[in-house]
Amino acid sequence: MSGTQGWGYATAVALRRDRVRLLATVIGLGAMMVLLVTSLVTLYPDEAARAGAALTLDNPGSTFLVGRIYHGHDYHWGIMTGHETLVVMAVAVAIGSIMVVTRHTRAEEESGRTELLLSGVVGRHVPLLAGLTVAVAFNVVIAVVMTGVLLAVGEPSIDLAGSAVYGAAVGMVGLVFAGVAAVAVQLASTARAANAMASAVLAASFLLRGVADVSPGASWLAWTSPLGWAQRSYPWHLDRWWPLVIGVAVAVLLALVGLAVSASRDLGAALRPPRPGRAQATSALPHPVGLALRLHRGVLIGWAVGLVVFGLVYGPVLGDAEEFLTQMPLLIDFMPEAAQAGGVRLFAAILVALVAVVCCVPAGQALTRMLSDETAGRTAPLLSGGTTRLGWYLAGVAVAALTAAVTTLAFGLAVGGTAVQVTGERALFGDIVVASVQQWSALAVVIGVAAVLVGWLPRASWLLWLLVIWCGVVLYFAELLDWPQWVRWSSPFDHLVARPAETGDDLTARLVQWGLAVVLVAVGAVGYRRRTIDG
Amino acid sequence: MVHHGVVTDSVIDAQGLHRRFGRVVALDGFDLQVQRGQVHGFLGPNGAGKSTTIRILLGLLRAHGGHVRVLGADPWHDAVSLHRRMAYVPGDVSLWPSLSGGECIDVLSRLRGGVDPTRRAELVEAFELDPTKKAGTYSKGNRQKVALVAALASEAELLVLDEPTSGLDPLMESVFAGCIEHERQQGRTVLLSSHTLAQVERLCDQISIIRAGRLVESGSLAELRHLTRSSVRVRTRDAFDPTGLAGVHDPRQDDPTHDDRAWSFSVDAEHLDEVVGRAHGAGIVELVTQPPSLEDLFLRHYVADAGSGARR
Repeated sequence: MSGTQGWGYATAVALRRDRVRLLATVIGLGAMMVLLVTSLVTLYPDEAARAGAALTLDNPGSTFLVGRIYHGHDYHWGIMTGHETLVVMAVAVAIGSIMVVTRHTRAEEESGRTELLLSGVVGRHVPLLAGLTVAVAFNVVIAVVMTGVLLAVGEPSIDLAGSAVYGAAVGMVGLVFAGVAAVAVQLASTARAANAMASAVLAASFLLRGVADVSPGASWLAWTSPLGWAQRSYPWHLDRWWPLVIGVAVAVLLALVGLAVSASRDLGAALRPPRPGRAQATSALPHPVGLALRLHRGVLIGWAVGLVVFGLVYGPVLGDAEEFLTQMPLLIDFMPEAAQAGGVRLFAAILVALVAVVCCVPAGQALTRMLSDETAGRTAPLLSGGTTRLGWYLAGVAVAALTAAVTTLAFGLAVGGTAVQVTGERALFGDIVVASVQQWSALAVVIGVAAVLVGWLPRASWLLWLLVIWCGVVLYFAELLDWPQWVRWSSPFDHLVARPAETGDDLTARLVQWGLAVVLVAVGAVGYRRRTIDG
Repeated sequence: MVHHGVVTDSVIDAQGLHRRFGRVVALDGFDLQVQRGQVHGFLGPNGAGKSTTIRILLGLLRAHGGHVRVLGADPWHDAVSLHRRMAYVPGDVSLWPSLSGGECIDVLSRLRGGVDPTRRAELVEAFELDPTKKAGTYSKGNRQKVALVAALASEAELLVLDEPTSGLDPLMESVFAGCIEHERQQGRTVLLSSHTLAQVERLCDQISIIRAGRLVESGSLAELRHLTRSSVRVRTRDAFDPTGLAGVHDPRQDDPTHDDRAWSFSVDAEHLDEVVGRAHGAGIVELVTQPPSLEDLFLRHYVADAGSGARR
């Protein structure tokens, strides 16, 4: 078939270009796996400790984050690993797979390199095929490495059969999202938009399986989610392979759809032809804040709408959380404060905190966009005109702050509103909205860190994403793995009282955070006014 | 792809090409004929459809209507086998930033199906390219050199160059001109889209001018010149008044004190003889005629009187 000519060589070039990044990703994910398993093994050395863990984890919040507990009567290390780490590992690998595919397809096309490639003796399928080949190789290696790492722990309960299923489940999810990305890069005209589209599908599959796990009546929803298929392989318990086969079949199907579209469409084309814009700028646009807001508008609206949908879906699920707890009398003994607050509030607190961390992404993008604009040479023309450096910098900070406020509030209002409808508890609405607003101080600190990076370390903007991921990791694992207080406090979000479940006074902490944020923004401003603007 | 008994020297044969992007019409019945061994200049204002045409010729875009053959084959369906015989240099070259310039040349050459190593070395030398530098650190001109070396060192029959020198300095432009001369001697066919009119004037045997998606002019420079106006400056012994003569445009008196005896104007080629005859009647003291430069030709077609493409 002439459509695949040059496949091997194009793949080799892609691997050659990406070797360091791919190797680092595999090592990073492998290290994460080692860390997780060894902490579980050292933290819960005996059966009693593990049984206690099984009890505490059987609550709606934890179930939403990691999945429903299985084989709870004998909660050995294998089961623990499968229950507590599979979803998060699969999400991490899925993100990696999406990036691999978009980087080798739409990003190449956007840069014009695909045009150069296709003007050679290269079949029309090859750009996508090469990207998918790298993604398949990446996921196969990941599956093998995960299996190997788990076996290397050397615990009898973490046996080969379960380890292989676990590794394969993680790799399967990676393959499905490589397929999702293969379709997304046909629909979106930029790599950035394709990443966003595929990540939105990933978020949706996380949330769908969350609903399925928390609401007993909606268990079937898990079958709509690749993460649900992975969970239902039940490593070290049932060791089922057939849910993984579904995933691989879906991945192949998605890849074929992507290939069919890519070979028949024009180079550079997307599903929707670009719409014409205004012939003239509105009066607000030439103002720095107006321009910064206009450039960030799509991200802001997309996230706000997504979070409103998330809130509307999860409001009703909150109602099921109450039921969830009443079925667990033992848990009520074990966690009296949770019982007192009620399952609804406990779950709401986890959702509010999770959304606050997630909202760091669109808020941070408002500032990292300044750096990508600079690399693309779009900043110098602006600053050589009437706009001052300080004005442009503060416009970025302002848009980031606005994004943080709007996105967290959008979720709080949506989930609070529906939760009141379901539970009939009037006070809940206000409590959830207040809880969302009180996350702002921690978000302000993250924005402050981003501002310092923009001002002083423009090449190290990845540090911001490291911080955001770290905040997520702390939220996800600190309780689970019983991390010491000083580690948990490295995340600004951990200084806040878990409203609306807990009550307490964190006013001092929040005031300190606001003060710290102002100082960070000021420090960043000094750097931005002094440093070289690259373009 | 072998044409038994058909004497066809047409390397590019496009007739009535149509192409839309959404509601925007990029090509509106465009024709292009390029014969074997020609260096063919492809001119047009921004947005006229040059790059769209080139992408159709490369099989990267599909035409919505019309007929197109490149080297006797269909560029969309036979893209892969055709690309073995073609080499392409885009105007805005993007390379893999983590590869060195030399690696980029070899990757591009390999993907094109082969390279002449001696020619590659000569070209790297001629363009003063440092092939050990990472492509990410190259300027626009240096990235263009990489693509040019890969294309020129290939064994392609047809070179498609889309503003290949837009980032090169004048010195490198003349190196480029030398290379094109070399290609002409080798009998290769070149389609050269360029805004550097002096370069086109110097290098190209044939020229096609596209405007708003249609062919407005095609032929050798001499033919095109013949079809348009020459500028004339004339001084006569007796009074002479070219105003109102057929084919005379923009008559101006050079020096008002000389009243009716010194004029500058442009004149349509077919009326030149007649106008000079009239001046002869008034006794020519001095006569300078200049054939139109490509720039004159070009500007004439680009000035806003749209729809007058067929006007001669």
